Parts: sequence; C-alpha cells; structure tokens
Amino acid sequence: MQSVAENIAITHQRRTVWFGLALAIALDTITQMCWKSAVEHVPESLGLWPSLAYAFSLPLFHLTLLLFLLQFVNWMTVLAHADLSYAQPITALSYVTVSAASIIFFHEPLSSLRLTGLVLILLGVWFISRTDHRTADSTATQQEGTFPAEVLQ
Amino acid sequence: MNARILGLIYVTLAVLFETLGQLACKHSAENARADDGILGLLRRLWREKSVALGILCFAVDAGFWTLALRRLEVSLAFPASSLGFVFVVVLSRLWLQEQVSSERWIGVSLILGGVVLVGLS
Repeated sequence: MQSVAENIAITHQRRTVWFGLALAIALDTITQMCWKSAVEHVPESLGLWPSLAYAFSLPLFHLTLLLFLLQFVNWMTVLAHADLSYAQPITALSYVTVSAASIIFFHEPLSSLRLTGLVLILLGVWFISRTDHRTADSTATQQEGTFPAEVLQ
Repeated sequence: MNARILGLIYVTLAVLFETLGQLACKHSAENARADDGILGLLRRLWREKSVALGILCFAVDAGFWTLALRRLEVSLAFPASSLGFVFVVVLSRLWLQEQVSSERWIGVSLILGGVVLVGLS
C-alpha cells in the first residue's frame, strides 16, 4: 500500500513539475512577445533614460512587468520540486515557441539553419525529460508520500 | 583590448551572474519547500535571504548583458549566452549535489548546439 501511495506521490509530483514547466515556457513566450511589442512603440530617436521613461508609461510594459512577477512565482514552485539541472535546460523549449510565435505574429522567416537548431533543442529536451526530475534528495519522495495518502483515505 | 573580446567577457560575466541567480533561487526554493501549496511557499520564501541575493544577481546579469550588447552583434552574443546551460549543469552538480546522468548531459549538449544554430541563423 505504501509503495502504491509513493508511486502516486511521484506521479503527482511529476505532473506538478511538468505543468509548471509548461506554464514557464508559455509565460516566457508571452512575455517576449509583449516586451517586443512594447519596445517597438518606443521612438528610436530617444536616449537611454528618456526611452526607459517612455517604456514605463506604456500599458504593454506594465503587463510585461506583471508577467515577470508571475513567471518568478511559478519558477520558484518548479524549483521547489525539481533539479535545477533538469528544469533550466528544459526551458530552452521557449526558443522553439518564441520562434513559432515570431513566425506567426511578426511574420519572421524560418531558415533551414534555424529549423535544424530548433530540432536539436527539441531532441535535447526529450533526452532530459527522460531523466529523474529530482535526484538531489532521496528523502523527498517519502516526505511527499504523505500528501496523496491523505487523498486516498 | 579589442571590443569583441571585451564584449565576450561581459557575456561570460552576465551568464555567470544569471547562473548564480538561478542557484540562489534553487537554494531558497529548496529551503522553503513543503506540501502546503504556493502561498505557504511564498510566505517562507519571503524570509529567505538567498531570494534577494538571486534577484540582485539577475540585476547584475542584466547590467553586464546590456554592456555586452553595446559591443557585440546579437548574432554573436546570443549563441555565446548558451554557455549558461553548461554553467548551470556543472554548478548544480558541484554545489547542489544533483546527479547529472549521461542522458542529461546528452540533452544539454544537444540544446547547446541547437541554441548556437538558432543564434547564427
């Protein structure tokens, strides 16, 4: 019974990590799009400080800051459950989603060199996703085993 | 010193501070973890000094990155920044005692190559 509960705990934890990573990649993509749109509204003739002041007056830039905050909170929850050497490389998927969004929304071209790079990133993420999301602390799964066991009762 | 080498030094410093920021965040998340959801986690993170250290590192990172971009074209700076994936994995292994299996190394190498190609395209 304990091992079933432990298995469910690990599955539950894995789902939490994957959901957090998917959210991190989605937020990263949306943030990049917002940021770029915001920056495009800033006149190029302005110097560093005036252009910063101009950016702070844009609602799109406020939205970008809010997205950064959300991203930070989500990222901390991911790091509470997963290895840094697991979670951080997987966020490289955002290169793929940002490229896709740039092609769709900003009509940027896709070269074969870029396509090759994106395929390599996808392959790399696939390799990492096959490893254990948490290796640093072996007592962790036992601690978390109590949580779904309560749900089971 | 020529502008390109100085630029690459700035990129390396930016990436190093970003990695240190990530390690500080991971350290604090690890200390604050428990099973009481996001609000409990945030409450405990509020008292973690390493969160502030992490955010400070990200600010220094942004500063060096800006300096780097003033001396380098993005098509060189961007692939060079993929060095961060190597720093993160090496330091996670050394300082956080994470086990980096050969599968994970292969994955990181593929990502590294991929980011370089995306940057060059």
